[in-house]
Amino acid sequence: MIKTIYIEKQIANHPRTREILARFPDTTQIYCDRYGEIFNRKAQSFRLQKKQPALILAKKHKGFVLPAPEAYGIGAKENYYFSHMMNCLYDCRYCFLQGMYRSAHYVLFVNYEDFANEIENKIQKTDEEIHFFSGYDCDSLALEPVTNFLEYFLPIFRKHHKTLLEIRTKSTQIRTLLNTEPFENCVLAWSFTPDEIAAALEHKTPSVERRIEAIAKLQEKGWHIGLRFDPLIYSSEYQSQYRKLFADTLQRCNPELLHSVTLGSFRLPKGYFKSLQKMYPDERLFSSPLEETNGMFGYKAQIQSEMLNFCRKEILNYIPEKIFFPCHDIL
Amino acid sequence: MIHIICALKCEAKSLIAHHRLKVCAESASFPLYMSQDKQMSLTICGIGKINAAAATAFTHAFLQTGKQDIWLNIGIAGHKNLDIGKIIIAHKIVEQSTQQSWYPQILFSPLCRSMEVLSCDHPATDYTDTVFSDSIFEMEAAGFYATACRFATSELIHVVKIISDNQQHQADKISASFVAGLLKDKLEIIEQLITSLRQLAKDLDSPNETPDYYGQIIEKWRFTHTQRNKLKSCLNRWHVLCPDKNPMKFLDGCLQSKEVINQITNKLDMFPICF
Ligand code: SF4
Repeated sequence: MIKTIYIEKQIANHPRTREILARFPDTTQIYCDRYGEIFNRKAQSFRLQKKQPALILAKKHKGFVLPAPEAYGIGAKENYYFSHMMNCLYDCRYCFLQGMYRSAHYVLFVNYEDFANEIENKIQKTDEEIHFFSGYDCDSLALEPVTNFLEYFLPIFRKHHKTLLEIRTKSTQIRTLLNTEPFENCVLAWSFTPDEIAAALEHKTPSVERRIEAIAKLQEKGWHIGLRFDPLIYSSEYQSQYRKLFADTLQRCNPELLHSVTLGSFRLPKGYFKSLQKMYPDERLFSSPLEETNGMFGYKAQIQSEMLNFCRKEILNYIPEKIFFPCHDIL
Repeated sequence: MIHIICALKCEAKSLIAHHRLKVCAESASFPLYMSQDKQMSLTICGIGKINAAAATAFTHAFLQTGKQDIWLNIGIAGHKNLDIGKIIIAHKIVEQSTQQSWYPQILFSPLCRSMEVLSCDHPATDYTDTVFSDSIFEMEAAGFYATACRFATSELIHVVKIISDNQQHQADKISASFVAGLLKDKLEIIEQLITSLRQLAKDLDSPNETPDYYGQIIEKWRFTHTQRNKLKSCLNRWHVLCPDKNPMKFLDGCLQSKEVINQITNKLDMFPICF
């Protein structure tokens, strides 16, 4: 539950700010000049703040739409991501946000209009198919009741058929989606790890089963779904655990509305990895057989390639290769 | 450890008595009191932000304080109309002279209200001055907070003030015994705050600098500085994956430190990782 809201003075009167503040009358509301005064301060503990994150309402000034990391691609040449939020309601131990940000508070950029303008600009500038990804610096849906992200952004993409919007999430906040007419160029993508791994590492997230139920409801409604087995987490039992996960998810998905399946390995830039390891010294994940290659921490090459190849083979038992997008590390 | 900074002896009196703090004779620069178990210190800094900053820095240097220590500035403050005796925790501190702000992170449920604190350079005389808006005003918080943030994580640093004067009951009517009484009346809330912060601090794990078996191993083999760090990280990993096993058992044949590290790493890579 949010107890404190920081508000940048310059967006204090933005209608979206007023609407959010009205919905949380019992919170402590504190005004600031720039969100960085709180979010970027040194000497903060991400781990402690995660116990009681505050909401920061802010204005984004630049970098509304950015080139997406290569691993995100699902078929288009031009890939961008945009983040109306920084940080996430959930607490996955492998999440790179813990290494990237000093603070665990949620920053919500309320000036959606500026994101929309930039998205429109990118679309106008090309005849190529463009893919846009949401859910890189946050979980796109987890705070939907606060952000109303879908209500604002879905209509923008609905009218541009040459674009594709991927909304990546682990959330089951699907009420808005169930009340919205689906459209072809929107993919709702859920990330999964096997039950046991999710229970150990994906704190505060809905269970695998509840995510699958959400997917089933949305497919019934006609939404296109993506499955993201990313990051792949090693355990001594990974083969049986992932085999079960693929069966539970892929078997229960309507293949006609399954847009794509991706596979990604667990990798973190060295600096982020070191911060995470320091933050959670007793975490088993960080004591796994990992190694550093070119400034990135990941599983030792042999384990990684074994896992990727195993998972690839298993996944292809269920889906055609044309909708499968493994990460580039696959052999 | 917990470190309390108070401007005046009368603000500290009831805390000193309650925690049975004893004056520390070796502290020459500022009067500093310690609990018998050495888990609590209290430093009297004198009035003003410079004194507060200096006493905070002194306490850090004198006691070699750690990143996970708790810091509190406890004292009195004024407000235009808040009731005398009201206790407040700061959620924003503004230094009046520079307009610089800090935002203490309150990650627990305090038994008192939170408010903005305005740290002034001079004692306030006009309670209706619009410059104070709805803030409470005092003279140490900014100096204390900015300095303590250099030594500890901000979630464990807080400023607590008790209203001693307002428009009806102005500062010139305050006596030392009156201040001591105000603080005494709020001891319970202060103690609850300390308990919450101690609870919070427990969640700040940090890698063990001297993991089990480290001493034994570096006594037996010669390690360079880099190798020692590597060894520590191997032994911390060992502690996570197989705390019940003794790594020494696997090191018998090792002649050099490099072999020790390789042997431990190889063993670790073979331990099952179960989720
Ligand atoms: S759901 Fe995604 S963004 Fe949120 S904590 Fe987990 S990995 Fe990070």
